[in-house]
This record gives sequence, structure tokens and C-alpha cells, in this order.
Amino acid sequence: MTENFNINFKENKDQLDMVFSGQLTINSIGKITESVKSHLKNPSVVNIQVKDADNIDLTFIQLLQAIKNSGKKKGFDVNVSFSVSDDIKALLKNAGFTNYVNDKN
Amino acid sequence: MIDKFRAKFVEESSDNIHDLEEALLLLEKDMRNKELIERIFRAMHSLKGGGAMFGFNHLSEFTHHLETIFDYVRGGKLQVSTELISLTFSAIDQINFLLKTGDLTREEDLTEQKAFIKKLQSFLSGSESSSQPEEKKESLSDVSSGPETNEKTFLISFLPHEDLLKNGTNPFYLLDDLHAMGNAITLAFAHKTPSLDLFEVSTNYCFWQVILSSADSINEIRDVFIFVEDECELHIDQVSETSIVNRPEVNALIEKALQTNTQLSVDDFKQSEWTRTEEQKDTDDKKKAFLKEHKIASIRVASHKIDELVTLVSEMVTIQAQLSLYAENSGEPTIMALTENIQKLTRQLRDNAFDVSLIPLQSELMRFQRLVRDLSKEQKKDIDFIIEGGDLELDKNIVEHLTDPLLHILRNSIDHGIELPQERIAAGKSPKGTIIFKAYHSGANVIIEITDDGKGIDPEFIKQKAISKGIIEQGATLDKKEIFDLLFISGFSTRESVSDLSGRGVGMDVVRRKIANIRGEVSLESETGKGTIISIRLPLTLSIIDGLLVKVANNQYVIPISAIEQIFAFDQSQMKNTFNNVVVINNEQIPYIILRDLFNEPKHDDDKFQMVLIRSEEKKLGIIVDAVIGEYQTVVKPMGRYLKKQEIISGASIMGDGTISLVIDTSRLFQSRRSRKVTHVEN
Repeated sequence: MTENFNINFKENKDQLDMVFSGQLTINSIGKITESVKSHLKNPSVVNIQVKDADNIDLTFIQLLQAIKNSGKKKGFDVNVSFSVSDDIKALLKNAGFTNYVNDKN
Repeated sequence: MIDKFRAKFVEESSDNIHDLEEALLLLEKDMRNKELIERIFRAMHSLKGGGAMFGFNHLSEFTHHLETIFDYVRGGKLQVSTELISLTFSAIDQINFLLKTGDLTREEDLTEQKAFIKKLQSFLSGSESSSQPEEKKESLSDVSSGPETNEKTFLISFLPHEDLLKNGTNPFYLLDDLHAMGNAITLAFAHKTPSLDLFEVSTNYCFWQVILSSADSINEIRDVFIFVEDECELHIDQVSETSIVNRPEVNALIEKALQTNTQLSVDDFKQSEWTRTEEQKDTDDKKKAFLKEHKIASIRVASHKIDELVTLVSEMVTIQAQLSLYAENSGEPTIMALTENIQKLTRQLRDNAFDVSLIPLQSELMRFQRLVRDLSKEQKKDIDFIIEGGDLELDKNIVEHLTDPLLHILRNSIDHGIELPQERIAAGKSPKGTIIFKAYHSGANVIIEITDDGKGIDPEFIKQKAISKGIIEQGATLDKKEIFDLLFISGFSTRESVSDLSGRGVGMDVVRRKIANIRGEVSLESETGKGTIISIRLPLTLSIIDGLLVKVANNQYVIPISAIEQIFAFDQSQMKNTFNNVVVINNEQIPYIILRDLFNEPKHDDDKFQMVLIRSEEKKLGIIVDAVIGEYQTVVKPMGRYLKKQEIISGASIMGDGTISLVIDTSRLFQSRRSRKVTHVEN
């Protein structure tokens, strides 16, 4: 069965770029997390880009938060940028996650 | 239990969809009506929230996109257009599908759903002013914080348990719901989320506080969380009697709370004298009381329970008739008095049960409006659909059986009645066609008329078609009405089902059969170039009627009292002075039928008869019976398969002594007399 989400990983020296798209929700969060964990070795910078997301729920936002907290713990920087539809932006803003919507990450 | 709630949600969603469709149709005529836009938004919002609660995740997701579009509309960022309304109608079809199927599993359904969502998204992104939702919120806040609003400000603390996400709840939608209630700012506290090594994917680590300015009450706000009450800690406090969202003092409080990861408290707001007055508390209590009162003003009952109630009441009426007979025979005054009281109560109970089983025709009219709208757009016709008497109530069993024939008649009117605008202009008509759906009471009947101002039906065409099909012979002399009656003859049409594509006359025999099944009649009048009127005459109820019991030879018959105008004594000498079964009463010529003749009974020996004068529309007819026995509450039972086709009797009733009385169908009696007259003249 094909996955309804997609993650592109790009490793360049100690920099890891991750691009998330598709259904970033509770139904796929287990697989998404496993995939992230397997790629996240010892980077100094992690750049996360979320684009063409069909849907996002709290589980994905918590995953981003967990990656950030790992960065604080292990000493790597995490940059997050969102390029999502206006309705997802509105949903995130209404849920209080304006930092993602306003690109002040 | 969950299934029961799901089923309830589906049932209630049908009401929401009905409301949505109705508001959309009205919005199409008045595209700037803010009240309608709000109504549509609310209906979508309920569908989205309920869908998320009851596991209709695809429905919830889909409706969310649709709701976003209407959020833009109500925020003045997007204009209502015919395209938007058409898109929304198609979306409603998808919502209906999602309600029916639940979450999608088939790959093609998922692809279709995804494509539809993309369509909704591109509709939004295609609009000129859809780029900045943040701006939209700001503009809403400006509006809602105006001095004319009756808003208060609440601090809502929503602290969900760790397991909240595991049962499928999406807290984003709950928070979104709060934003839909007014002007809100959400504070998300996500600092308890661990690092990736300790991260449990489906555990909730967050909690929220929302500052909401809204005209809604605390109870209404609490309703948003009704299905997660056991899975969270929830506090809702009013912190100000006015809208204070976006005030600099409030923004400062929010910034401090987020920086220190500390929850706001009610006391943080008290320093600015934002406390509620006693007077307002009183108003709020009154509002709550009103809401409570409003909620119990009507209840929803499963239709099978109503059917059971009507059946039980019917049985009770029969037993009561037996009791009355027993009491009368016993001659015991106490029993007779008690029986009389029971009779009164039974009658009230019967009327009550009957009233409960009535539903307004309006409940089905939405489908008709939708059909007219969709078909006329598809065929590039401009049609004004006017409804008169939509609030009229009918037995729910009648309404259920009426929908398909009415849809078919309307489809005929659109397909073949109303012309294209250019044809209408060429015929000297307005380019916009009209279909009028009119329902009204006529005695004990309800009449439904569907009138179109289209091209009408050419009687010559119908006649030739009937000749070619061998229904009538070449050279047959028929008047216009008789020609139009050919349309209802089985065999004139080639289709079997009313849901088949219409053609003028196609399936009309099925329409007549379906309407006859609910003891109704259908007739058609048409004028070439001017239009067509299809009239349906229906009984108010199918099960219990007030009847007049009459005797004819050794049998008893019931005539519905609603059709009776007067009863006269009649004797042989009066009958001898009549000509062609027409008697003069009060200077009025009244035709009559002798039931003994009609039922092939021997001639009456007695000199005295009774004439029961019945009325149908403007026509009167006398029915000659041996004797009038009296009034009788009649539980009408169907005649059964073998006797179903006979015409003058509409049903049977079991009498108190166990004998059977046949119920006379007065409308058909009129028709029968007419056809006998025609036969007589032809002979």
C-alpha cells in the first residue's frame, strides 16, 4: 500500500534537510517519527520544510517540537519553515501555533 | 453505543444538510445576505465538529476546507458567486456520500475526495483576496470588538489528558470551533513535549488557554467540549463584560504567559475591573433558562415508533367500538357513561396520534428546489421555482410515497415543459420560465398543483401516439381531457420506473399508480404554448377517519364525514319526479347515485330512503342509502391484494361486533358517476 505522506531527506556534511508533505496526521505519525529518528544522527543543523501538506494535526506539531527539544539537548539548530495552504495556516493559528504560521521559528 | 451515537450524528447531519441547501438556494437569490452566510457557515461547522467527534474523519476534513471558504466569505474576503454556490452544492453531495459510507477505504474514492479538496483549495487560492488569513482574523476582530456588539470575554483553559489523541479526537478542531464563536486568541503550551528519544507519537503533551470574546454563553462554549469532558480538565470563566481581545493589556498578559509557560488566571484580568455585574449575571441566567426551554420544545422520535403508536391507537379505536356496542346492549347507565368518556378520550388520542404523524411538506421541498436548480443550470434554462403552501402538513407515509412521483413530474416540466430562453423570447414570453408548486387544503383532501408556463402538450400529438401504439382506434372521438388521460394509461409509456429519464408522458402511468397507492388521484390540464398544470389530490391521512355508517341492503358502508355536506330524508315519490338521476334540492340540480344499483342489490322495499349529499370541489353528488346508522370512527384497513383493483371502495373497517364495513371512496364515486354518464350517452 502506498503511503499518504512523503519525506525527502537530504544530508550534506553535518546538515540534514527534511521536506514533509501529504497527510501529516496521527495515522502516519508513527512511520514519520521512525523515519526521522533513523536519519537524525549527529547533525549540526536540521532544516525542516513542510510543504504541500494535505492535513496536519497535533501529533505532527508535537513531533516538530520534539525535534527542537532534541536539538536543544544535543546542541544542533533546528529551522522550520511552512509552505502550506491558507486553511491549514488558519487551523494552526487558531490552535495557537502562530510561530509556525508566521515563520518565526 | 458508539454506533448509536454515529447513527444519531448521521440523522442530525441530514437536518444540517437540509438547512445548508435551503440557505444556499436563498443565498443564490440574495448573495449579500450576511445572515444566510452565517447560517451556512454554522451548518458546515457543526458537520465538521460532529464528524471529528464521531469518527467521520474524512467528512470532517472535507467540510473543514468548505468551511474555510465560507469563513472567507463571511469575513468579506471572498464574494458569493454562482460558481461558489454550484461548487458548494456538489460538495454537499460529497458530504452526503461521506455520511453514508463513513471514512473512505476504496482507492478511487480517496482519489476523488483528494481531487475535490484540491478543487476547493484552488477555488480559494483563485480568489483575489484569499492570500492573508491573518488579516482576515484581524478584520473580524475589529468588527466584533465594536461597541454595538453584546460580547463578553471568557478565559477558557483546556487541559486534555495524555490519551486524548488515542481515541481520534483532533483538538485543533475544538479550538477552531471556539474561534468560530467569536474573536479569539489561543495560547498553546507545548513545553512539556519531550525530546525525540522519549517522544511517544500518540501522547498528548499540550494544553491550551483561549481568550474568547463572544455573544455565546458559557454553556454554549462548554458544548464545544461535550465529547471530551471526561478526557480533559476544563475551566471556562467570564473575565470581562465586554470584548477585550486585542487590547494592549491583554496582549501583554499573553506574551508574559507564553514566555514563562505560565497559565493565565482569572485574577490576571480582575485588576482591570473586568468583572461581571449582577445584572448581567441575571441576564445570562435568563438566557440559559430560555435555551433550556428551547431545547425541550421539540423532540426527535424514530418514525417506526410513530407507526407503532398509530397502529396501537387504531386497534384501540376498534376495541372502543366494541365496548360502545356492549354498553349500548347492556343498557347499564354507569357502563354507558364510562364508555362515553372512553370514547371521547379515544377520539382525542386518535387526533393526537394522527397529528404527531403529520410532517410538513417542506421537509421534501428542498430536493425539488435542488432538482430544479441543477437541471435548469444543466440545460441552460432559466427557471423560477415558486413554492406556495410548503408548510402544509401531511401524513408522513403519504409524504414518503409522494416524493418520487413529484420529482418525476418536476423533471418532466423542466425537460419538456419550459423552453430555452431564446425559444421563449421567440414565443413572446419572458426568457425566464416559472414552475409553481402549490399545496393547499380542499375539504378533507390536500391538493398539490405543479404548474409550468412552458410549451404545453399538443393533444393531437398525444392522440396520434396513442393511435400508433394501438391504445385507441383511428378516428376515435375524444375530448381534450380524455386525450390527456391517455398519458396515464399503462402502455402509453415505455418506461417502468419513475426514476427513469423523463419524457412528456413517459412514466406518467407509474406516477398515477404510485399516487393511487396512497389513495390519491392525479390529473393533467395543458394548453399548447401556455403551459401545463398537474394536480394531485391526496387524503390527509391513511389510517383513521371520521365516518358516517350507512346501511345498504344487508351491508354497512362508511362514508367519510369530511366529504358530507348534508343528509336528507328521501322517498319513492320524490324519486319518481326525477329525470336522469338528477334531483332538485334547494333550487339546485343534484345528480345522485343509488348504492343498491351500484352494488347490484335488489330494489328497496321500503318507501323511505336517506340521501347523503357529498361534495368534491364545486361538484355535489347525492348517495341514496337505505338508512343512516350514525357516526363512526373508522380504522381503515387496506383491501388486500385481490380486492385492491376495485374502484369505489378504498378500504375496510372492522366493526365493534366483528362484522366488516366497506369504506366508500367519495372522489372515485364522482368519477364513477361521470364515466357512467359518458357510457350512457355513448350507448
